[in-house]
Amino acid sequence: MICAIRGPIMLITLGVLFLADYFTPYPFYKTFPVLLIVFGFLKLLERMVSGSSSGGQAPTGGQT
Amino acid sequence: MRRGSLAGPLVLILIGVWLLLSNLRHDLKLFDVAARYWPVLLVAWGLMRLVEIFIGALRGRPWPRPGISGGEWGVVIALCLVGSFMYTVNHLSVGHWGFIQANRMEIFGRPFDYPVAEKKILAPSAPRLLIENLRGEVRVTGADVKEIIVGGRKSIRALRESDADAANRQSEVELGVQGEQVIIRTNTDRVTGDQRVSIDLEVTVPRSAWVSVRGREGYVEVNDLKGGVEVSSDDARVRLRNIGGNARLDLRKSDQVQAVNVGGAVELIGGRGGDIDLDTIGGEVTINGSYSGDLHFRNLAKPIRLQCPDTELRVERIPGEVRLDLDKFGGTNLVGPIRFSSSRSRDVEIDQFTQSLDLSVRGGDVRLRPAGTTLPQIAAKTRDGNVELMLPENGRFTLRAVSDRGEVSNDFGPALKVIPGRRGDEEGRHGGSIMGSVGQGPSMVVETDRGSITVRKDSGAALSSRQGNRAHEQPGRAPESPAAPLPIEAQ
Repeated sequence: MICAIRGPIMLITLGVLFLADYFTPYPFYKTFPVLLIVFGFLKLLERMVSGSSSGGQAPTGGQT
Repeated sequence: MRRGSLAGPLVLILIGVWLLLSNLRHDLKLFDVAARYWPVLLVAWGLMRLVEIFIGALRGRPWPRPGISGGEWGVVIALCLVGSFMYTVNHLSVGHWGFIQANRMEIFGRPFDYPVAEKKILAPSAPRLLIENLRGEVRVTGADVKEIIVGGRKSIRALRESDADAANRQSEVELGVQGEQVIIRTNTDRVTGDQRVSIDLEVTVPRSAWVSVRGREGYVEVNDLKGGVEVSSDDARVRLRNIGGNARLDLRKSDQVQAVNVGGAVELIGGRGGDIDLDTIGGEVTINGSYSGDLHFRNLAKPIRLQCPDTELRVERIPGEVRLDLDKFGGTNLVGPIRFSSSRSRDVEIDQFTQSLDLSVRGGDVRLRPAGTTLPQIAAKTRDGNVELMLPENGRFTLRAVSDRGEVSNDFGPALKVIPGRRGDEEGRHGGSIMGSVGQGPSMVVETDRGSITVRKDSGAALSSRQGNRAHEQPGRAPESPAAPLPIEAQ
């Protein structure tokens, strides 16, 4: 499940960062680490979910 | 069969509607909107996918492995590139990046030309004329007329001819009287779109007129006036010819300023500039700003003051000429007091000057040849350069020339004493000095850190190739006139 929503959430984050670049004083080159944080957070969540649930979904490795 | 996402078709529809609207409605500035708000598409796309995925899960469909496929990421990257490009182009045209003079009208637009219909107005005596033209050329010529006549042409850069026509109607050239002033206004600021309007004006005025030109970008030329001239612009080249009164130029940027035969004072307030050429100026000359081109001053009857961030020049009168660029300062036939200081390295060559010279340069070779038998007082300093001083045989002076590490040589004979070595260096390996007096005369102090110092007897040969003859105490206005050789004074 986390793996499925990871793409859309990353996309939304990217859009928000671009908007922040244009409409707030935070330029993209300063805010891009947010993308890494969100990605890492989602990976962490995925691991926790797959650890607690008992094999409902096939465990999926992260794409590189 | 895999059911595709709703997002793809929706994005296609959105792009289609946007293109259609931008073709049909020019006034909506859709380019600006798209350039600023395109990231909303990314957010909307992501949200849509989330909703789709959750709805799918509720209906019992399996979670899709990747929420967004590889192909879709490709589209996202392309969207980011195009959007950033649009934002950058739009941003440039707003003019935040002053160093790039790009505008999307300049990239995508076409020029359309229109004539400016000739207009006339009867001028009051000694009229004051104000010309406001944001962009383009202004040529003002004084003539034996009683009217002020204006004509010219317009060049409008636009995407379509209809846009250009509209801009032409909005920016009508007006000629009118307001109180004491006659005003010519081009009204280019009334243009509602982003068409680029540039207007070239030809104005004929009575000779007694006083003219003021205001603009943002362009070229200003004023000829044959008895009155004064005032120009203020963000970026303009200016050319003045045969002006009776004062000229005041306030230019934030200017590639070229030329003034020939101005009766009054010339004041130039510049930010950044290129070339300056002043010839035959009756009043004082004041120049402020930083200039990277060639500065040329000839035949200035009153004092000149030049103040740049790295250079200061003051000369009482320039019957001859001065040339100054980033590497060199050359002067011929100058009346002092002269003061030149430069915090950058420049070679200095001054031929025939009087009264006094105060010279200080960071580096560069210095060659000085004062004029006449009554020599000027000299104080000259350079850090890394050779100094050559050419003094007349019968001149009287007191010299103190010190080189810290260079050699010194003296052609003047026993009247001047050559002392090898600098102070505290008894062996005399480095540096040296020349001290002494020839008769009772003004003091000359010459200092260099690393260069050599040479004191020569002036044989009368030219320092620079143009000057053939020695000038006397008062250098004449025509230094080229042949002068008899100086009678040698008995010592």
